[in-house]
Amino acid sequence: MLGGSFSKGALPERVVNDLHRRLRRHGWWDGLLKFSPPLLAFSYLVFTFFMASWIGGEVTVFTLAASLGIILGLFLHFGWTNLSAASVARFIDDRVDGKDRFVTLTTIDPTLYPSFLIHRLRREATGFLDRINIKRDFPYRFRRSFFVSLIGSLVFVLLSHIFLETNLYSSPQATSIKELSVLARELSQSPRFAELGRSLNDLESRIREQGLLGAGNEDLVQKLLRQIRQQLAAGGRSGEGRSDLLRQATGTLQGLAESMEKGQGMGGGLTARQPRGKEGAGKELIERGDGGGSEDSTMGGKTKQGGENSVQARMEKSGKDRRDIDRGGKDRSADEIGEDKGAVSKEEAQGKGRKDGHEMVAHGEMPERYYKAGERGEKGIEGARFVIVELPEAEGLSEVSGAVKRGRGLRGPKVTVSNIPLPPRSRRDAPLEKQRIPLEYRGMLR
Amino acid sequence: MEPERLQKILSQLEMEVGKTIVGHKDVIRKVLLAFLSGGHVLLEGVPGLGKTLLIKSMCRALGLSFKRVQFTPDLMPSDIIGTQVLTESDGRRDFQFKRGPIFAQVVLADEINRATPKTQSAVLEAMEESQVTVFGETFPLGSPFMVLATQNPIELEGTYPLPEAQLDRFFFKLLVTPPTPDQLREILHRTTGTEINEPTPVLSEHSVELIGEMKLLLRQVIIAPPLEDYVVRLIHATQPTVEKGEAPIPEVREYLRFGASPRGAQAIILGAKGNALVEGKVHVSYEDIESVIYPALRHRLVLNFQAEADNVDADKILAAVVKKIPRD
Repeated sequence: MLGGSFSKGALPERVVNDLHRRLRRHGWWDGLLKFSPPLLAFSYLVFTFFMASWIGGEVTVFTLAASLGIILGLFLHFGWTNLSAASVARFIDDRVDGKDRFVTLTTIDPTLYPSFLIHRLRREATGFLDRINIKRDFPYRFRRSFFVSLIGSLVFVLLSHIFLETNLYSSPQATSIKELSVLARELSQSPRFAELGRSLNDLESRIREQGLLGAGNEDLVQKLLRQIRQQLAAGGRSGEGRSDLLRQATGTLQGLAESMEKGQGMGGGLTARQPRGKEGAGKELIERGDGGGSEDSTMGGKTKQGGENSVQARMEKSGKDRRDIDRGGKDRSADEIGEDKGAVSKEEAQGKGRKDGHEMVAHGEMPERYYKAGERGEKGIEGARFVIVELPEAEGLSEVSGAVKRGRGLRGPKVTVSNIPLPPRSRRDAPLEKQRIPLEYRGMLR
Repeated sequence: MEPERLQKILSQLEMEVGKTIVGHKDVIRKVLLAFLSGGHVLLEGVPGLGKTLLIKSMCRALGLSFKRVQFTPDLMPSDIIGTQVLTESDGRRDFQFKRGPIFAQVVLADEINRATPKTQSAVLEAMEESQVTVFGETFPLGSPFMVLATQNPIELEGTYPLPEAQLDRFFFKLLVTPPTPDQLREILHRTTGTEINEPTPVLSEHSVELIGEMKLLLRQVIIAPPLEDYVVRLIHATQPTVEKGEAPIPEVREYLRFGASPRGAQAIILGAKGNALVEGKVHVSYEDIESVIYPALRHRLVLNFQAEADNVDADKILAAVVKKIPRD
């Protein structure tokens, strides 16, 4: 019926209803075409953010679902309310010059008028049906709103893409993560380096989870990548090279993991800290939250040793730094830390709560867990793990850190110290602190 | 009655009136529509345009009883309605009601604005209720009953403009315009030669039943609810003050004191129905409505002083209203 001319027996009211259904479908298509480009553009943007690790998977799914819901609501609203039967009848009247016969037949109550007049009106309207072919006279055409929506969405996507290219993809952090991912994938495919590949993959996952890569660790990752590539190139010639590769890469990886652990524990390191309102004025973005010694120990590349045994160099460097710390009047040895801890413990006993970052350190010889990465304990390097948490007011401790040395130390106001559990880092008012604390207690701070 | 028969009668009437009246076809049609709708018509035009001749020709074609009353300042109500006169028969004196010209089926109130308001108001009851009351006794008027009044827009000295209440009782107010050169040439040919064309009656005084059927058929014409809504919106748009503030149309807000009454809406609907029948349709279209908006509403709008100062008439305001109010 919709495809061609109407038979002479067709009722005008039925023609109006058929056209009504057809135009409603047109309305649905209009809504779909009008709202789809913005939805797709927005989805592209969200997906891009997700791929760049700017937002997590849950946020991505929620955002997409919310935008889909909004678009669906608009689509349903405009799909349902834009056309009435009287309007459709008017279209036919205009097309066939029906002098409002179709409008009248569609909208009147037939019981209110004499039947002979209704029959006559219907007969007159039927006479106009041969003038109309719904498919021909009412074809679907793209509306201007669709083109506006499409062009606007394309421009939006284009601008977003350009912006992201210049600000995200071109950033060294993103490049490093990407290279790390590629290298991890390549190594995982080789049985010989599968373990290293998995480690790199884990590292990449951790970096993505924790956010943007800090500047110090960025150098470390680059160095790691450079080492692995060099060793891959050289290691293909002999089995010794393979072992070198594994050893060096494992050492660098370990250092990087330690650095990340410190960063995680301190709210710094790999994570770029965000300004925290009023208090945040004095707590600038600190990408390197670790201490000077640990920085050197993990970086290890400041001396640009190139093809040397990096692990060895890093260990030596770390030991040197360690010794420097021990020698310096302001640097803190284990004993001093132990003394401080004792003092603070007394204060704690008096109900004053935590004073500084030494309270958790016991008296006597420094336990192995406070060894820096690279220092050997009883269990070798495996036993030397610790994290540093530094309070902003801990000047004595901060002075030994690389951050303070570079004038980027913790300059924020003093944070009230007490035995009240620290607020989570996600809160804006959470204090920025560094404190030497055993790794086992890290969970308490979270 | 079949619509075709009514259409044929109306066509015959228009043709018969057209024998003596050159042009003014729209005026003739509107007068016929008002007659079928049971309304009265006020014709306005300068002297010499054939207003009186048009009405006389119309009445002759209708074949109905016709009386003409020339309204003057000294015209008394009893001169129109009638009066009690003392009569003597068989030596016995008695008061007997002598009917005035208002008891004709078609009454021509020529230059109605020259009579005093007292006399003008004597026509009010007759126009509205088709009856008159004299000395406490009510007399029904003839059926059909129609008042055709004329008035002169110039020479306003010594005239008494019709009050709004009385104007509202007229179904249409028609403007008689000067003839075009061709029409004037045809008028000269017809009136300055020896040939005399007189309209032949299409109906008669005894065609009351037929006229009743015609009136009934007119009221049965189909009108769609969207078109009724359009009329309602038109009438509402002429109100200078509405419930929620001022009228949305600037011309209405600026130049009107009062808008159209519900009688205006009734006149539009009935006039549109009659126009549809004349056009051979059994339903009302937007064109039918728009063809009767001006004659149905122009005398129902009460203009303010600003409108007179700016030389704005009701037709200009109605044009603005029609332009601003959409059909859908």
